[in-house]
Amino acid sequence: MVENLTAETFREKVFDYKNEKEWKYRGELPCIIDFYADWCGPCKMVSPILDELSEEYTGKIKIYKINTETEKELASVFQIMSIPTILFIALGKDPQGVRGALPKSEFEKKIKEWLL
Amino acid sequence: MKEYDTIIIGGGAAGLTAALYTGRKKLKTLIVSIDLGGQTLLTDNIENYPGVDSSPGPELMAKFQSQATKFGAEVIMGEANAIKKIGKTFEVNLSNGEKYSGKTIIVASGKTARKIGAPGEDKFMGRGVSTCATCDAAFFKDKEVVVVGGGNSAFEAAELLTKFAKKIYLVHRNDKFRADEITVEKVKKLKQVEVIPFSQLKEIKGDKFVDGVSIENIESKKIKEVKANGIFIEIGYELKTDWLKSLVKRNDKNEIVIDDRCNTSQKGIFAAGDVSTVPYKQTVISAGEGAKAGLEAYKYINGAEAAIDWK
Repeated sequence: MVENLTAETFREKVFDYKNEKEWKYRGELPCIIDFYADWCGPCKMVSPILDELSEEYTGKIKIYKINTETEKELASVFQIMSIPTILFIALGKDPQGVRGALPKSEFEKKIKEWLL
Repeated sequence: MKEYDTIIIGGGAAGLTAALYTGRKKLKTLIVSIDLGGQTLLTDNIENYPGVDSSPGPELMAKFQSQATKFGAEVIMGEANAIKKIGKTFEVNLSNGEKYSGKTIIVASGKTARKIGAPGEDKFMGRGVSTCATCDAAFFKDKEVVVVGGGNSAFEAAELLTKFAKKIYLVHRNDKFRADEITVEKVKKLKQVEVIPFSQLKEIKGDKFVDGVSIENIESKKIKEVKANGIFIEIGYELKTDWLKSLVKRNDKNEIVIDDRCNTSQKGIFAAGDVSTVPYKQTVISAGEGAKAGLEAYKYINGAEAAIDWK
């Protein structure tokens, strides 16, 4: 299931940006984070794809969403200025970001290349 | 090299519908596109697609996409940049170096958002430069922004931005606006909006993110430096068909010339939707044209007597 993150759950599950200076991912599985907003058309393309992927990759990767409208602090920590922005976070590596909607096949490709 | 019966360039209403039809005719189909959904993605709410009372553009296009792939079409995200005719087949080259072979090609690549061509535009795309005001306006709360353009989309972007930004400069090449008079009047009255006519962006500046622009007066050549964190480019669309000019005939608007069955001047290459000479750039028209192109591709491969029930 895709989980919506707040600033608090983000710090607990992804990165404690208040106490850590260097990037340190706190999760045990690689993850995808979708920065979105309800008013954004292209974001609506991505949403059902993430729902499907979260079912298909259960136990292999985590999928999170961040509503940039309600979680302004997180949007500003990551200096999001364009949505959707999608972060791919592999274990032991820096996160990689992609701006704009992706089709499912591209998500699958990036999951294979970057995360698994 | 992977071989297909038909390679469709473009994944908007025309391309996805063509794929639906070729897929149902059991043609091995590949869609090569830089996005999936095309121009319809940018429509907040589509109310003139028959059978669909009202739907956000992206939701309608998600259905187009799943319907196309349900019948077997494969999708590759990428930019086709060359087609070579080799014997009876066509070789499609992608900008990432991949190559695919197709017995037929359907060009349905639509229109592309026009760029201003100023230094910094590409570098800061997504870092202050935006082509989607409805997506990104809210990230510029209390910031100063520049909107470039003189059509409805530019004025609508400026109006939307007044809800967030503290100052909006609207830069246009002259003082004649293509936007509807009612919108122009409304936006000009808004306090935060300053219209800068007869001007163009000379450079977009910044370190990691945009922090300013140089605006040049086209007549006096004087440069005005403006502090801004957001640049919204709303100068309409263009047809990128130069890469096909040696293969197919185009008109003076760079549209690919087709007959009433989507045939181009090159046998085996079909065109559909906004990229073609068909008038009225509408989702419903593109879908219909895509269907025609798909059936014509099937007929081309299987011969003139191919069994199409509804000839």
